[in-house]
Amino acid sequence: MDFGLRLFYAPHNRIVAQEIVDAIEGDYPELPVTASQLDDSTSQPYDASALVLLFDRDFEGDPARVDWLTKFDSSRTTTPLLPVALDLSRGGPPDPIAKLKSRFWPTDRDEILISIAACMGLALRPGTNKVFVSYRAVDGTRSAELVEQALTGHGFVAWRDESKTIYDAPNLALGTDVQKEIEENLSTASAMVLLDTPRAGESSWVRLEVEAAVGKMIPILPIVLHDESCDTQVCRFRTLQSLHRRAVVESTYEAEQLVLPAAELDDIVKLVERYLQSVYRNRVLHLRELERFLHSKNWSFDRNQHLPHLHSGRVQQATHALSLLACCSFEEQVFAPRVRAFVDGMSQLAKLKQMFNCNYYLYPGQTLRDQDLLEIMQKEVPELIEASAEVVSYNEAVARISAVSGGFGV
Amino acid sequence: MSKSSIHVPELNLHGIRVWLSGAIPEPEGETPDTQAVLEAWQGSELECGILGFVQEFASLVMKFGGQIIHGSHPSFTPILLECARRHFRTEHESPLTLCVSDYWPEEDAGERERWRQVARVTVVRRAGTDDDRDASLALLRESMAQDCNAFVAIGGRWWSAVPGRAGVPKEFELAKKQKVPSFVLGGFGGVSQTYVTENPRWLDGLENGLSEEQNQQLSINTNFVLTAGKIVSQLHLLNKRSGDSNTLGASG
Repeated sequence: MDFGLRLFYAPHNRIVAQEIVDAIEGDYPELPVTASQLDDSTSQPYDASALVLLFDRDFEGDPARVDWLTKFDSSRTTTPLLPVALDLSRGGPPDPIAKLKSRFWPTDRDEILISIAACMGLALRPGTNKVFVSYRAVDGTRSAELVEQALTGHGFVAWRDESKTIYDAPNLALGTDVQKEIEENLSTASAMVLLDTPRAGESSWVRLEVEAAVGKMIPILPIVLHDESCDTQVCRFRTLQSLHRRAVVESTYEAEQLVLPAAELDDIVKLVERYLQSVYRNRVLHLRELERFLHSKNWSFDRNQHLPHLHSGRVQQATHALSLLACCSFEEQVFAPRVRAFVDGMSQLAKLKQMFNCNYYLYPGQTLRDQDLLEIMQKEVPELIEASAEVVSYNEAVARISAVSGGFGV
Repeated sequence: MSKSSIHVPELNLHGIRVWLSGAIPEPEGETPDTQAVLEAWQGSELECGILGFVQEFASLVMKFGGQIIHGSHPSFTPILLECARRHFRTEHESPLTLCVSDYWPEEDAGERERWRQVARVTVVRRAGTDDDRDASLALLRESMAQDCNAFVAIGGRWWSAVPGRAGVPKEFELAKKQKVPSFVLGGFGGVSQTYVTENPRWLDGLENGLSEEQNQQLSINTNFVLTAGKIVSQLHLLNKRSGDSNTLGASG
């Protein structure tokens, strides 16, 4: 899957499609957007972090398009799909995706742009776009189902991650095998909505899952549920208690289940989207700040004139000039397809006689050990080992460049 | 992997033990119902910044051979444990020391045992009486101050309802007494911010090799990636310069 957005439109909607692309690029200049005509038979729905489908009242009049949409929807697996209606007279989306909520362009412009950035926030963790709904079955199942439905209805792939009942007892020491199982579950989570019900806080399973998710910096949004007899404002999980991002929702008990009011569900999805949007926006800032930082050190560091997805940098030092080529990834981990594309980019530039002293694939997020990086390379991109390139985290690059530039600087 | 070490060398933080002080500050307002949170959405920049810094700084320190010492605040601990898991060296050389007072019981059975899989856990004895929370905390802080040779503060709770309880200023004072290089990050809110904005003498005794202007800049920086990288580069340079002095890693 390629990091970016793919927008599909019918040929007669080309102008409005361009208008939407312009709006997206205006708000999120670093976001790669590809617009594809629906009649383009080579369109591949899979290679994007999010899909947007523009439709109008004529869409269902064309059986070929409906057929295409049926296949398209079933093949998108975990990629979020946002249907956007272009005329108010057309209510919901076309039949094959009628279960999804559509937004109207231009009426819902801001909402659409937030949803798109939210999808990108999800996609920062490569490999999956699942929103995990973590809860305890004994009092949270019904609400978890409702949240799952609401997220799915907004085009996301939600996954209910129920705590294992046998580990629900408080103060139960969990063994290494349980920790491994939880880690494995979380390896496919791109974000987590935690239903913090009164009984969830008692579960050792949920507690450990929350801690593991925090440790992995998986975006977690706690929804604190309480009934009218208990107006707690505080998250029941010590790890999350100081978080500002949380919502407290008064709910009602129905047969021991604490059930979220239906009227809150849309807002909860909006909250998830807002949070994921801020995750994406913060990540994009890293690149801009890195550019600013290098400029402040008298480096040039700008998009390469031939391959704009790469950055070329250069600094004149006392004895020699240092020139570097960098691929600045947004993704959380080292993402092999992107590294491979970087290696290809280096070869292309070499053919154009553009050579660099250093080549860096820069990744954001937690700095990995050299040994782990080497293993990733050996397993997934062995050609990088032969290439004169290093895989370095953003903050490691800042630290090393600061050190080599004679210190801190302001 | 071909290294470009001639131009941009790796860093050396071996022997550096950084006391990381702080926590996510408590929210100013309460009643965060969904609609109110949406209407007053400020993102989660504050906590993203603080927690992002903790992750990036700790993983960088650990990667280059340094250690983190922390007083087991619940919001930082899982992140530090994950960093330590990734950068775990040997049983006897963990990159993370978590200090706890036995005034506080484990939240979960086996919690500290789980920590010990990747971290050194130092349990500091509580003060004499059962309810002497602050005295127990003081003992915990003394222990961390003795163990560290560098200090970084970020965020931190105000404890506005309990005057004098905020931990970051107390911990900074202890670090200053030890004369270890200190960095106070005011750009991420919390009591660290209050401290640098309301205390005109906060720059005294930082011992971190930076000029007043550089420290002022650092104290308002809001980008955690740059902040983490810059402090680590400064620790590297101090380590390199210290040679056999007794302020940083060379002292072991």
